[in-house]
Amino acid sequence: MNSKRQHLPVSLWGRFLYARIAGDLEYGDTQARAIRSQTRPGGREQFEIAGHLFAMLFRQVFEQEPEVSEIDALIGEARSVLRTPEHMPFLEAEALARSWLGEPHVDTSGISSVVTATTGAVLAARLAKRLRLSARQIAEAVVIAEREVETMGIELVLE
Amino acid sequence: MNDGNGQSPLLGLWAAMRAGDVAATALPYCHLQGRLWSALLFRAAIRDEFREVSDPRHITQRVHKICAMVPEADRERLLARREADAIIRAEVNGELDLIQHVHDSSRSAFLTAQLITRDVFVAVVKSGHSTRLARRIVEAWQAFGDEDWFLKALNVVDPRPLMTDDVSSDVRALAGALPGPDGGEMT
Repeated sequence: MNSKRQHLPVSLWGRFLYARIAGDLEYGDTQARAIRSQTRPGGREQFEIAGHLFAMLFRQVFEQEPEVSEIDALIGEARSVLRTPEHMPFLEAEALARSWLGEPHVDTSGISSVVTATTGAVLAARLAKRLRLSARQIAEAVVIAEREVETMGIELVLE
Repeated sequence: MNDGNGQSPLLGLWAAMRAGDVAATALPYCHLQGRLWSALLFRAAIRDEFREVSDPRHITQRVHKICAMVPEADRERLLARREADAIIRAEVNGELDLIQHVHDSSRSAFLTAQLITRDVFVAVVKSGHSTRLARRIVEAWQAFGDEDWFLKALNVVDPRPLMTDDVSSDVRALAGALPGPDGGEMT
């Protein structure tokens, strides 16, 4: 195993998330194949890892309570560089981000798994880039997000 | 335009509000008179309800609270609360770029927004603030010419032609019926 892959997340989705954000394309492809070949796929709850990771990094960038306009600006920036912005519709992304940051009354009903996963991963990636995190720091952050999700009672799918 | 009894819909609505007749105002005339009515009543009610609110979080909380008041039979029609929230933010804060993100689901979003508006009307009837809302309707009409984004959005929902002249005469009738600044029941 590559030394930069030490202290990796333990779940399939966590490893995929780490690989994509850290820019480790080869490892990301391996994890994607493993996810696709699962005999017992994880539920949508798996994507909570991305949401927790996003919220954790967002609070590092914006130390005070963020304005909704700052969330919107980040989403606009992320969509502008996305090849498939239709996988991250603006209103859905805003609702998810605000919900992940703890706002109680935001309507996140009916948002698809693809949109949920894309939004969490892409926003987390933008923030990791802004924070100039190393691959190891990204891995550590994903591991923390995994633990938070596990404490919610969500079972993660492992290799 | 009149309601068949020689009275303009706006005057009828205002009379119902002043009489505290919730049933008569629970379904605003928007469904009967088309999208321009819908837009006019929506703008007046929303601008009044959210007159002291600008923070998107507070708008979301308020929308959530209003939706919780929607009668049980209509709950399943609340399909686009997220989009309705965005429409209201655009109206209250002028966040016009939000509207382009609403278009894909605009039909259900506007339905939700109308249900929210209806419940604002019910709250107005119960609070007895009908004159203030009537003034808001007149103000909203006066502002239409300068801010036509809402009408453009409505074009997506309903291709029927606007009935500008009819609505204009009804708003004039309402404006004429309103008491002077010192004669209203509210500030």
